Amino acid sequence: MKNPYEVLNINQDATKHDIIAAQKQAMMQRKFPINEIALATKQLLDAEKRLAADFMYPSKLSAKRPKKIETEINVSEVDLNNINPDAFCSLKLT
Amino acid sequence: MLNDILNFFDDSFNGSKSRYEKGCQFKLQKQYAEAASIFTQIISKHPQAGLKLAETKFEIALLTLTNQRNKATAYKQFEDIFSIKISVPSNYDKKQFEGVERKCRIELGGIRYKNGVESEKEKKYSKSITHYLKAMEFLSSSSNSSDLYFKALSRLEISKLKEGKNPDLSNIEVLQKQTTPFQQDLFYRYTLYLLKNNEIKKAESVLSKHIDFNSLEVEQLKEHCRNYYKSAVLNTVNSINTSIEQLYQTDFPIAETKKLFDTISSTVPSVNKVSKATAKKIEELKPSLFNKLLSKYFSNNQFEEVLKHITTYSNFHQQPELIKNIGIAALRLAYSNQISKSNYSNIISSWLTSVYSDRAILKSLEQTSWDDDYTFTLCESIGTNFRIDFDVENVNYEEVSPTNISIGATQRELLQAFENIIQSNIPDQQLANTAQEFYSNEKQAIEKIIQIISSDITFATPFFAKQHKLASFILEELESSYNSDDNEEALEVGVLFAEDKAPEVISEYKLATQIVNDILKAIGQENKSQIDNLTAKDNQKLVAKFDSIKETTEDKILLELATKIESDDENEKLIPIMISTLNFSPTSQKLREQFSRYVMNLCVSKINDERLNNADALKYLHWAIKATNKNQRGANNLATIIKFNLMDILNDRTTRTAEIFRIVEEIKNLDYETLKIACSELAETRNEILEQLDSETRRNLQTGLNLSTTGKTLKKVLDYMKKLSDDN
Repeated sequence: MKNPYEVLNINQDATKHDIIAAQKQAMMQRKFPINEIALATKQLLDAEKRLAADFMYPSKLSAKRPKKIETEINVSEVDLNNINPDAFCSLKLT
Repeated sequence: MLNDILNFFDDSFNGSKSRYEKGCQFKLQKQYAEAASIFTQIISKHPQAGLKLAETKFEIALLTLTNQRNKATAYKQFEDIFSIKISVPSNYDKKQFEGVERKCRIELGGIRYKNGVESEKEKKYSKSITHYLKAMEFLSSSSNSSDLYFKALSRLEISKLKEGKNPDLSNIEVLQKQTTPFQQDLFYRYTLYLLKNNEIKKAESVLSKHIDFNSLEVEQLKEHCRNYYKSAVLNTVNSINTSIEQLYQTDFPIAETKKLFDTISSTVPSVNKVSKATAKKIEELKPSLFNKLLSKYFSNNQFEEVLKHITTYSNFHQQPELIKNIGIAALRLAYSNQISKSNYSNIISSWLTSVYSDRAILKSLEQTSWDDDYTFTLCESIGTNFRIDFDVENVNYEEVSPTNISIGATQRELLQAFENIIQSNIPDQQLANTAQEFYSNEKQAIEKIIQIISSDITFATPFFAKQHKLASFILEELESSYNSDDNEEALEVGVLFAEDKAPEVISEYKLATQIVNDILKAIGQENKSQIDNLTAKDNQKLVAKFDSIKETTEDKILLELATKIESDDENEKLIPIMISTLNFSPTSQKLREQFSRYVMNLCVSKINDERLNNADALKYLHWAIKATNKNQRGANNLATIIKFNLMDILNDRTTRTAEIFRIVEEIKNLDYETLKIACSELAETRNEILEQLDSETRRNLQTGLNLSTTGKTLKKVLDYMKKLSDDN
């Protein structure tokens, strides 16, 4: 279940040639057991298995880099003390 | 002395009577001063004088008010009327007196209301408040004055607002339901008051209910409300902008990112009310913040958080990349031994929903850039039974070849990887078994709906669908499949997705399935009354509605009974239970044969060992032959047991004579070929009995005359033997 790309230390867009070269490199470095290196190579050279390995890379939503929000909102202050409280005076209706 | 006193009262009353009449005359002639004078003099002597005085004084006060326009004097005169009651005798007319008092109160209320208005005009609001309160006090007791009462109440609250006092909220609430001429004035002032006290939502509500009309002033109030929300949005935007500035700094904590993401999610609806453009800009921040959090959770191996984060994102199921990520998180949880009792169902259902999504793997392909000439085919894919629309250039529906790679094979490869994990990576064996069983059920269910449904909806396992409100879409499709193709498989799998609100036909199918399961359980528990309840007519009808249930029920019951028989093949309790199940499947030949065979074996075995009495054996074998009459061995056994029982009667070896005769009578009426053959042996037995009798007894038996009780019984036994064997 190890990620074969990580075992061989290559990117997802590696070519067959890159994979084989990476296998040799990995064997020399011995960071992983030989059987794991062999398995990773076999997996990436088999298209069905390689697609399964690719499936395990998280995908992101398409998104723009967030930038500061500029808003058109304007606040034109209303002074409540300047509003005529007697605008609808009803004394004349008494 | 006593006579003197009585004479005095007579004279006194007669005198006051004539004066009372005089007073009434004055009152009629509107000579109110004279009338009042007389009524005052005789008030304690005549029972009606007090009332007449009150009425007269009321008229005087009214004249003062209308002719002289002297409110103060009239007010006093009205008030004085209340004191008359003190001087009247106890037998005065209380009801009529209260009528005058009520009229006085209305007049007094009116005077106080007018005084209030005058004070208000002079801007003396404390005074007007006092007058209105007093007016309301006078007016509150009379339903005839409710208009004036509510006018006074309105003016009272207007005066308070004018004076800068807090209004009485309970009064305002009452006035919201009234229609006085002062509504606009009152609610305009009240809205202004609320706005000055920052009670914006309340002010908006009053404004929209009571003063939503075109006017410069009202517009200003509305503008003030809008400004309040605008300012709030500006504050939010400023706060978001500050966070965005810090977002790409390396030490910006994940908790702050989460906080920002949550703030955005929660504020968009309220911002939308103020500015759709700003709300859209805020909304557009969500995917990038979502991605940022997702990356952090993945890189921190917080896979449970990944699942939570994705499944709380709106319409996540419509985003193939998110469905794919759900699968990755589930697999990583499984791989890192994090499957537990509390999360196995979430992990397994998430994984299966992800891998069975063709769109998720297409998304993976879309992001793949191998330097090869491979193409990929969906022709064997496991996620759909129809061709989906997609926009991935190197994918097709052509046949698989060395260069046209099978997406289905990749999906199966992924499934296998997960299956290997749950078979080997769960140390708790009990949990491993539970998880594997759950996996298998969920997998079967999603495969089944993919096979049945031909619409492009999100396919999910039952657990995942119910968890994330996707079940209703699936159920709708399954119901439609059943309606168009009579496909009961759609109902069968629908039961797994059904919640409280399922389509009726799926609920019925679920209930029918449950009934059958409960019957099987009741058979296992030998609970006959439960079986009888479950096999009621309505239940039979419901089960019969669905062929797939009806057809399998018989075999299931047969199997359950076979299991019971295997564990104890001489259990008499099973006989009535088997009869109840026969009632549920009346046409089932297999169940009838099983029953008949069981009863026969039990009776033979127990009779031979004398563990069953002949009467019970007769009863059981009678039931058995009714279940299936083609079995000659069964009929022979019954004939033998009839003979045993009749001989028991003759030899006085049984107390169940009546019951035996009743059963034999019923058997006599059965028209079964096997039984006729079997009963021929009874003729032989009858002859043997007759040979042992003397000729007189035989004659008596023939005529039926001169028979003792025993003789009658003997005749009955012999008659049954004859009738049963005669048919042969």
